[in-house]
Amino acid sequence: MDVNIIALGAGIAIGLSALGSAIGQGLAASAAAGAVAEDESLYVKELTFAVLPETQSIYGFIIAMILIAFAFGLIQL
Amino acid sequence: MLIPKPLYEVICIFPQKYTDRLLIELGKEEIIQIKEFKEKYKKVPSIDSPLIKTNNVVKALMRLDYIVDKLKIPKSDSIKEIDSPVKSAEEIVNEIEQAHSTIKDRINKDIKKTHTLTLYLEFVNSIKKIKFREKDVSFLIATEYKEWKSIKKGLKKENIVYSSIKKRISGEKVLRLLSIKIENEKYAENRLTDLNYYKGKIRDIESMINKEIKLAEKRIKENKDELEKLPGEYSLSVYSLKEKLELKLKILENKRKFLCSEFITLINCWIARSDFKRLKKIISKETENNYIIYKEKPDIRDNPPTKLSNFFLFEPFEMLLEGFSLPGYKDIDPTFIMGLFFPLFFGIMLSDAGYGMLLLLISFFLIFKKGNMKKFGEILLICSVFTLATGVYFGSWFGFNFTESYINPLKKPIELMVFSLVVGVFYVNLSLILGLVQSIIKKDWNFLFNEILLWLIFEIGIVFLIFPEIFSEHTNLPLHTIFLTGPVLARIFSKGILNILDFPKFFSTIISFIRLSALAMSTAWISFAINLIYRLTLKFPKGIYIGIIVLVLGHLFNFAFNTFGSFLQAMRLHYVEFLGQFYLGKGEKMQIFSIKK
Repeated sequence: MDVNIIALGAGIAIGLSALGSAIGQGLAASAAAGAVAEDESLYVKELTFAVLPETQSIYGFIIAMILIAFAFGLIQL
Repeated sequence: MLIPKPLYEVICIFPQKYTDRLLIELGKEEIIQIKEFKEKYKKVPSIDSPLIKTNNVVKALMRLDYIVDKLKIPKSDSIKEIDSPVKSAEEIVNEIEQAHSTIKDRINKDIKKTHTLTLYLEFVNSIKKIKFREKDVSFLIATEYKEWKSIKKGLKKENIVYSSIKKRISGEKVLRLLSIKIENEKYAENRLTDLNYYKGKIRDIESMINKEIKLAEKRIKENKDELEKLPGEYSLSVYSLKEKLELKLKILENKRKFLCSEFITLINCWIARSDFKRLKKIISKETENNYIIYKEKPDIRDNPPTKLSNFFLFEPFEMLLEGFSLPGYKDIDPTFIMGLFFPLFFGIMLSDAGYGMLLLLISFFLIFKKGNMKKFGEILLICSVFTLATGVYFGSWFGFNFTESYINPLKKPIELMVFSLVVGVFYVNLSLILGLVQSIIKKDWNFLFNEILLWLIFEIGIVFLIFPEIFSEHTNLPLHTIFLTGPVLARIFSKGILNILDFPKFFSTIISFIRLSALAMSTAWISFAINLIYRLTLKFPKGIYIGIIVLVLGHLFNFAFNTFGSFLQAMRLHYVEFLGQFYLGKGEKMQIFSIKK
């Protein structure tokens, strides 16, 4: 298979998932900032909520890594 | 280490004039959390009041005196130590009364039996001279008239009664001797099934009765001996209890008088059990020994506060747990686990020996600060050691690779990803095991089955699915189907169809650990890119100056960005993936009473 297309796929996988994560993280972080302004003791908890949407970009990262690994023969079925 | 410090709830009452100096001392020592404080405390405490206790002690003493008088328990020369004397007194009096009445009953029963048997014997002796036919068999029975009437009817009908001699013994009971033809013996036995009878020749019946009388007399003698020994057996326990109760009564009387004073202060507080002796010493010193103190194990319904207690290396990580939520009084304290794995995860994610050294320098600067900054510095110090270790193993120094290793974020990313997944499986299972232990300790069976065992069974199903050969030699049962569908059905029935989504969530919890490799790769690749730009700048005239600026600023940026990221992600892995499996976190921090200068 064409390595260029696989590389493009990997880029799209990580790019789109990171975009989604960024939007989610932005929403969560802005709400968290509001909550922390009300109660400072919530800082650690809210920080955790803010990083929660990052999991989706991890999934994108896994897909990208698997695609790259296949393309360059690092793993084989 | 794995549970918060055990506490005591303490009530201390002392004269009001000592209040200020005692509070100052307690404030300096910083060992208690005050729950209730009352000055000019007039009312006798309703629970554990000395008055109620006095009544109980007096009651127990009266019962002991009664039993000593009744059984003439001999005085004991020695005394033994007894815990909770009031309860023990109650138990021992009941035990003695029970034993005494059981033996008495046995004696009375045997005396009555001997008396009846003697009457039987007299009757047999009186009719011994009568000559019975050799082939006949005799039955000696004691019946009431109505009973006899029905028996007689049956016997006569068959014309089997040869002779019947009778004698009234007591009340309505009449003793009879029936002489029956030997061929009708079985029939007669069936008719007399419900009665006690002696059967045989008249001489045999006489010897039978004699034997029974002797046996009964022997039993009476044995029981009387036992009854005589009984008071002696309980002498030590009874007199030890009496002495202890009399002493307790005196103490309680004094306490009661003391509590009637208007000028007293009451402090109700929580304290770590290990600090109780120290508290008592302070109170004793500051009140010149004029105090009453009660301690008891806290009732979980009172929501006792949580005081964490960990090995000094893990202590800084208490701050991270506090940031999330403290464990309840009897819950598992996961600080010890976090203290081991937080720096490890951090180290894997930062994974550069050069950055580890930079972090070490910063942490040295921070640990000389005070309060939370110092604790944060200590956490960073431990994290930097782990980062240095992983960096050395990966052979990575500011993005330059010097040695080969089995896993490496730049050269062997797939191996690193697999390693991250293995860490994830291990860590999620560790949290499930902690949950298992916690729910067994708390007897929370619902949580145990629905949140812990369900996942463990599901995991076993996955193992069977991946490695079907494990049990295929021993059984033909589709084990993986049973182990996989069982938990799914259990989830649907216990929590509803929508909660089936918890199963993909369980996988995502494990997959989430791949961020360990993702962050490690991010650090390594950004370092690699900075180093690449530096090499490119060298191609320009005097590019070395720009190159050094790029190198310094680039690595500083990468260090700051990825240190923050690694810390945050390590925290997230603990808060969401680890604690999320079992941690209830409903504890409240122990608010130590302190007086600052």
